[in-house]
Amino acid sequence: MKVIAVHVDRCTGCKTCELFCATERGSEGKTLLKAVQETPLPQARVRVEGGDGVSVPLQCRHCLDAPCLDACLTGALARDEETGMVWVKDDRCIGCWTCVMFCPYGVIYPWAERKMALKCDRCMHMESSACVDVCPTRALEIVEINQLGEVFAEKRRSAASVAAAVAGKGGAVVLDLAK
Amino acid sequence: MESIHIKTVDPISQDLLRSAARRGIDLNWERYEKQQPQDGFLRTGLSCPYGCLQGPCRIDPFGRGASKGLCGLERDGMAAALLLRLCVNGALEAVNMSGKAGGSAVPAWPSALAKPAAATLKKLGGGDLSSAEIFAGVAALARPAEGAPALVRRALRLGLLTLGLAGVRPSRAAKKPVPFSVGYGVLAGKAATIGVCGQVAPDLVDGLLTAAKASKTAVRVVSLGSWIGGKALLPMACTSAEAELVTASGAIDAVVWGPVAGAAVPALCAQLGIPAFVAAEADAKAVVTAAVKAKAKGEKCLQDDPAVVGAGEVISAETLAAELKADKKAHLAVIGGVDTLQSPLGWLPTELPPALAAAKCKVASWGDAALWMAKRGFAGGNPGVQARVLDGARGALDAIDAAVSAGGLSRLRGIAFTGLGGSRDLASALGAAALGARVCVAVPLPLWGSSGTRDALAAAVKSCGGSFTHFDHPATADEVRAWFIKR
Repeated sequence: MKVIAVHVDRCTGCKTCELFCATERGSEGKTLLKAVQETPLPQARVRVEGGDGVSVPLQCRHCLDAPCLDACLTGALARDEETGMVWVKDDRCIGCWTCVMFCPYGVIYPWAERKMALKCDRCMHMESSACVDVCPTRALEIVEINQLGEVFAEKRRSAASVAAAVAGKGGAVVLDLAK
Repeated sequence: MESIHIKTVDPISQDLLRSAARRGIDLNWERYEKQQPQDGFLRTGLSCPYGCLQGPCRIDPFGRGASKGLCGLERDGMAAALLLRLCVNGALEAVNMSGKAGGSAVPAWPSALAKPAAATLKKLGGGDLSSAEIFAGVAALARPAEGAPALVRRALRLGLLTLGLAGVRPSRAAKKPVPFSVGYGVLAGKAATIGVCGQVAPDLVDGLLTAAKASKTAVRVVSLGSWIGGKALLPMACTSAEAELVTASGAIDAVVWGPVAGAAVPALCAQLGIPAFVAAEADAKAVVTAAVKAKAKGEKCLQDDPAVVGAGEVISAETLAAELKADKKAHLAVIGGVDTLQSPLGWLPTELPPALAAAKCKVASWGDAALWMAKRGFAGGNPGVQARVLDGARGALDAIDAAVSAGGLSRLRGIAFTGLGGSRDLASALGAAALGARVCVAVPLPLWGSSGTRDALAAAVKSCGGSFTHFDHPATADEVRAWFIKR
């Protein structure tokens, strides 16, 4: 199962992912300058949140035990067997927003004009994800979830080497990886 | 590689692009691709120019995020403020080009345009029009309190100023037509070649030509897409967007560059080991010596074919007006402006002239568009299409002047800008529309995030008797042709 990973240290908060998610997935015109003229206005499925100099693009995590799936009253939310992505069947969604309330990350959005819930499906029917393609700093990346273990292992090895270096100088110190 | 045919319509340029790609040389097209998508907020006009240094503020074009800037400026105001800032910049460029940067600059209208310009100014608020208008615009932008219509009106006044300032310097063809040549054929042969690009002082060009003539080895001086001339125009190897391509071809042995040349050509010279000289500091003899020395080790990727040269001549507004008077049925269709990477190079300037000639239009041009027409034989030598070429520094002004002198603006079918090379081009386009001309810009402007600003602009231009068309995408040749044909 492939998911969108976020390199928080690379995100500049430019919101390019938001603009082009709305354009590619929500508009008829499929170009930004046409999308901004449409009614209702297209909506993005990714949102950049932040503060204190930190910004993070947030989109559906496609939880392995997804509360939204259980909450959906009409069966509009489903998991795609091939990709593992949780997606919305537009024709079944009645806009009750139950899934919106159950989502622990707040990344399912009520789209009142279209009376439906809006969420990221990782552009699973496209060759690649719009937000990942347009990110100017490559802060968004598609990774195979099984490979995340290797990423975490690398981080642990890195932390261990810092700890070893600190310990080599003698004495007990607080390990601060930010330094 | 598979998309090379949509980068340029010139087959020789396509071969040079393949050659550069094989050698791993990145050119402007590669940089353009890596920049995609460009800043969406700025492209829609919903990013504040950041003059207050407390932002930058952005307004969410999809209506979910911020709807106002820190100062309280809303969507329409933000797009209008950006337009005004671009016009302030354009007017400053025009003042600099007019040679009046040291004092107050006022428009120099050709006699036929003095009355229409005064009438337009009255419709745009009256008063005097001078470079003082720029300071008023800057003051209005410090923390904009005016609404979109007022900001747009200021932008149009600056547009009018920019257009009028083009008249301060006489046309290079004021006394007689000035011949020019363009094409890869000017690089044929074994002479050492000095490429000149950007704004280069005529004295230096004359010095280069004299030093080249005195050299024991054959040396020539060519322009890389700029209209450069001391006593005569330098032969041009290419259009401005192809300067890097020609530099990468191995046919250039030394480069002299001045302002507006861009950073890429000097950087490419450094990468390829081509001697490059800043025009302001260059010594003509040293440049020639360096070119001769570099020639010995250079390897040219360009096939020698002296026949690949188009020719034409730059004419004045008076000459064009006389031709229009002699052909009372013809309408003037003007296609000018610079190359843009947003559509295939040369597409609009080579597709449109035959279609417009068939519609009984007399075609005129300036800038890169004129070079493409000359390359295709439309500026001389092609009996089907005889495009006339105007001085690039005053293209739109001369076109309107010629039409009005020949009977009125009804003789002008329209002026289409194939691309904008800077803020001065945008301001000139707006100024031409304010003066009553039909104007079309073939590249998207940062106005699509605000229907209020677009409406305010259209209304203000209409009240002056003109029209201003722009597209939310790079316009196709069919769209621009349809715009010309439609009354």
